[in-house]
Amino acid sequence: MTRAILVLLLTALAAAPFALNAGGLALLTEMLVLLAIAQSWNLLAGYGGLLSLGHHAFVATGAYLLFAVTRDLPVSPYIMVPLSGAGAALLALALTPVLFRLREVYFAIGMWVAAEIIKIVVSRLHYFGGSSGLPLYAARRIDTSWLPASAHWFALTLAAGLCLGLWLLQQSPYGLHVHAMRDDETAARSLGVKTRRIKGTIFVLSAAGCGMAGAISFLGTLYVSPVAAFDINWTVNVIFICVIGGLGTIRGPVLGVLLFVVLREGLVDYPGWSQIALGTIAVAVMLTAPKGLSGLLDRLLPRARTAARDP
Amino acid sequence: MSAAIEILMNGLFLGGLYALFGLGLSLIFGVMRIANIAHGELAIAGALVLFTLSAAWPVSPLLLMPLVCAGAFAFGWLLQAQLLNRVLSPDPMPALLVTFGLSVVMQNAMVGLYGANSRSIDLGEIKTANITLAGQTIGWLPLGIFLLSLGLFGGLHLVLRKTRLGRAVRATSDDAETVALFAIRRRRIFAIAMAVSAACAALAGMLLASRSSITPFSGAERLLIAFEVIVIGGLGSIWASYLGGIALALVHVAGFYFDPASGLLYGHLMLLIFLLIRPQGLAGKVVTR
Repeated sequence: MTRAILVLLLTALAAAPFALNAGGLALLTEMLVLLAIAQSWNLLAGYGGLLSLGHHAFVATGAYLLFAVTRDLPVSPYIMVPLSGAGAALLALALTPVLFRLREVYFAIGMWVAAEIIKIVVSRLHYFGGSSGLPLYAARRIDTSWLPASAHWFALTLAAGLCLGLWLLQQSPYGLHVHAMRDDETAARSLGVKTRRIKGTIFVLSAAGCGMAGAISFLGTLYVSPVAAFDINWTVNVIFICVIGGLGTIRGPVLGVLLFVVLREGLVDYPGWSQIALGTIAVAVMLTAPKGLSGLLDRLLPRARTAARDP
Repeated sequence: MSAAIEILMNGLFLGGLYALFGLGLSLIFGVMRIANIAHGELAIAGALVLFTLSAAWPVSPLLLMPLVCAGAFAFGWLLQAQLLNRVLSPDPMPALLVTFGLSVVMQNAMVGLYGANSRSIDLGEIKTANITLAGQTIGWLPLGIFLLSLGLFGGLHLVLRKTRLGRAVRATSDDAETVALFAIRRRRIFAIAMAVSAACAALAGMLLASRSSITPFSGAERLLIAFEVIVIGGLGSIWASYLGGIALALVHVAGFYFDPASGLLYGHLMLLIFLLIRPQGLAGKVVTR
């Protein structure tokens, strides 16, 4: 039953470019990009217990790699999307020697400082277009009329792939190791769980997801600038999406993205208010229902849950 | 030569202000092992409230500063007693996320109420008054802020060392569980620490706004400065924050002198270097992070 609904939903989403107008498609793509970044952040924070305040650095890295490499080499922007993710993963790998000396609060803010450094360096480098940024030169080589649809399919593939990946992780023995590490790192290590390697792996994977999402998002806008790519709101919004939806669950970020878009579009005439509302809801969620909307859903639908568990 | 003296002098004076930003954060981190992501927003809110008050009352903003500090003290107390004490656990993530949410709410509310313009508190003649010492022109205002923060550190040092409350705070910082056995109410100590931290932040924000200028977006930058101060200085003693503040300010002043376009880059790099080479900071004891 659930599987049939998921297949129907995916088919509907895949067909969206043929049914929606340009504005509707852009919004849907943006939601999928946000979901992809949210699931990447969720992998690190909800599953791994590592809170990062600097994930916008990986979004920006993916975007900048796409624009800079396709300008200099005859690579198709589409092929560059997964490679941008690999680039962001490499950056994360390079950061681990410093960041993984830090724990908890220090890791969170250390990651933010790392993002600030990368932002300042990128906006000073002539290679990346300095503070004014880069246009997508490679757009001349591709049929741009298909660009919005391609970006949408990329975003759908990435978001669905990340959800599937998290589901597989939950089912696997490796997922148990990750879970044990989040709940009690010392105890997990004493049982032979290689916590350092697990942390490194999920950090790098999470960066790869954000890098691809960044590349896809800016592929659609045809222009990248430090202000837009390194916008801390990438991280801020995604944290609210995960916290409100439910950290460490797959459907949490999905619910969170829906609420985020409803609030933003509903309060579009009152700038700033959607973030005030999201922040207030997130604080209220942490205080009263730490499992978020996902946990609330479980409480409201106890019967459905038991039915699903014992068919 | 005179450029070097100028950088040293400015760095020293600015360092006192930086230390004050770091002091509040290191106090709550030392006592509760959590950070307040809204620390920078509290500082900026203090300065903005001072704008409103001094527009309403025709007295010197200097006289209104203690009033704002008292308000911030009450706000910090309420924040800890009503919100943060509810999410205390060995896992620091809930508290971190609550203060993170608060910081975003405060920043957007401040932009909505005050607009995005940059502002500066007008202290009148004090702002431009200066003395000449050994061939160097020294502004009274930076010197006064430096001395004020030195006095505050001294006062807090005495409170922590000599009073019953200070002893309770230090004991809670060492082992909050055991302290509870001695009929010390841990949550009350936490509330006091957060209240003092918020008052320090508000004061630092007001002094910053009188020295230079602020916008409602300046909070994040201030949080990072406060964080860098406590990492570079190290934890374990409040004077470590003072040292960290001066070290960071020297790097910032020198950075802005030689490479003005790079902003706070060199301060951030210094943080990374410290994390790699000397994670315990300049003066701190070795702690696991």
